[in-house]
Amino acid sequence: MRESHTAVIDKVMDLDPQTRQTVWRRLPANEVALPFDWEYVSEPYEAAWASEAIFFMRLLAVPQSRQRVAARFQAEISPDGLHWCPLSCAWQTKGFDTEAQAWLHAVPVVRFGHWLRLRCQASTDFFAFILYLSLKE
Amino acid sequence: MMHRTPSLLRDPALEIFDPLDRILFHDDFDRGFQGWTGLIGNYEGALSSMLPEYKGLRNPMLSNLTVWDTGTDGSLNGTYALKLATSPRPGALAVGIKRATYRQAGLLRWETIFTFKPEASALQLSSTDVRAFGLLLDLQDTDTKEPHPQRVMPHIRYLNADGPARMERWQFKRQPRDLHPIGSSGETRSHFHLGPDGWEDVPGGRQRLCYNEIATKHNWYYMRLDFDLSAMRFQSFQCNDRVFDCSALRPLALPAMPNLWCMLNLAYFVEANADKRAFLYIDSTLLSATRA
Repeated sequence: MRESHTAVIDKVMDLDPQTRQTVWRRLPANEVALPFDWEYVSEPYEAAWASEAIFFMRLLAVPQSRQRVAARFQAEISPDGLHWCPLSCAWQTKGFDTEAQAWLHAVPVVRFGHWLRLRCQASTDFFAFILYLSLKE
Repeated sequence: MMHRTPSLLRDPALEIFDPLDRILFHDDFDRGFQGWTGLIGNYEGALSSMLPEYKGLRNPMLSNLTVWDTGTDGSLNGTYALKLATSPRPGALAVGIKRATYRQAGLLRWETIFTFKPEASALQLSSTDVRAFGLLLDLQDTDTKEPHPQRVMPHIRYLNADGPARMERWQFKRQPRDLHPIGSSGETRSHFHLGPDGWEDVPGGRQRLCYNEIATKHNWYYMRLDFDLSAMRFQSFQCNDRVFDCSALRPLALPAMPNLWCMLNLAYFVEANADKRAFLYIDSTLLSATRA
């Protein structure tokens, strides 16, 4: 039987500005491709044993007021966990409404080096999410 | 005359351990995670209800110990080890836990082949960039225990460094923090037991380990914890060639909780001391017990 494993890479739980985890970075003006002015980069995850992977990002909580959010995603790979390059030049773009609480986005990854991480740029830092990495041998 | 199994028939991956009569598990991470997963704080209604210290814990992964300058080290026996990796900030923690229950309150022996390193993100010795690593058991008496059943949590850590200071000593923790109610049902409580408070030195517990000379060289170590479930007392702790006197050690203890009878959880943890990830690698681990 093939090995498989789903790792929870991150849980960003709080929307309260006083207590929420500071995982989002506001991009400096010269790096912004509007409307994506906030960026989250996941912690690295080693997956040398796996040959296929999918990142899943699921919306956990929404702010009080309804928002239309645009987000885009790029998987990154690394031979050493220190130096990174995008797996593909193309970004995957997703728009979602924060009132639709069932939002889930998948980023499949094949032919990667030993480390994986996900870069997400969004039009707001104001949503809570859980990020999975599902791996198969 | 003693009859020994011919050495060619013995398994080196098992031979490195000194198990008691019954092996409960032997996890070599060349065959998957084998039940080791991340620790999560208790919550009710929403994840955000958990205690803040639990929110940043990182989950384990399988590593082949690849480093940028020499490539893959592999583990001691095979290719993969269980890896705990913190976030890159001082005080950040990663925890791996395996959850079971026990059927006999006898002597437990928990043996581990491990190593630890900071992320090799600087071309420097970096030997004080891991603050601490350690292990803990999370146990509870059986439901027929009278009159004062307990939840008992023996903790042992190696405090490698604290700020710029090299500490290089084993410590234990006996003092629990207060339990906090979680949510509004009145049925969920939580306490954070891996904070920097309450650690006490193991008597004679200074030990210098084989860090080696750069951050990408890994040397494997052995450690062994013996714990008596019937008395809920430390029996013995060993790391490499040193066996420490455990007579003064006490586990953290609190009144039994409603849903944890005969619990036998095992956890490893690692803590960063710099704005650099701290890594703990487990090549293999073996839990054994005495038979009645």
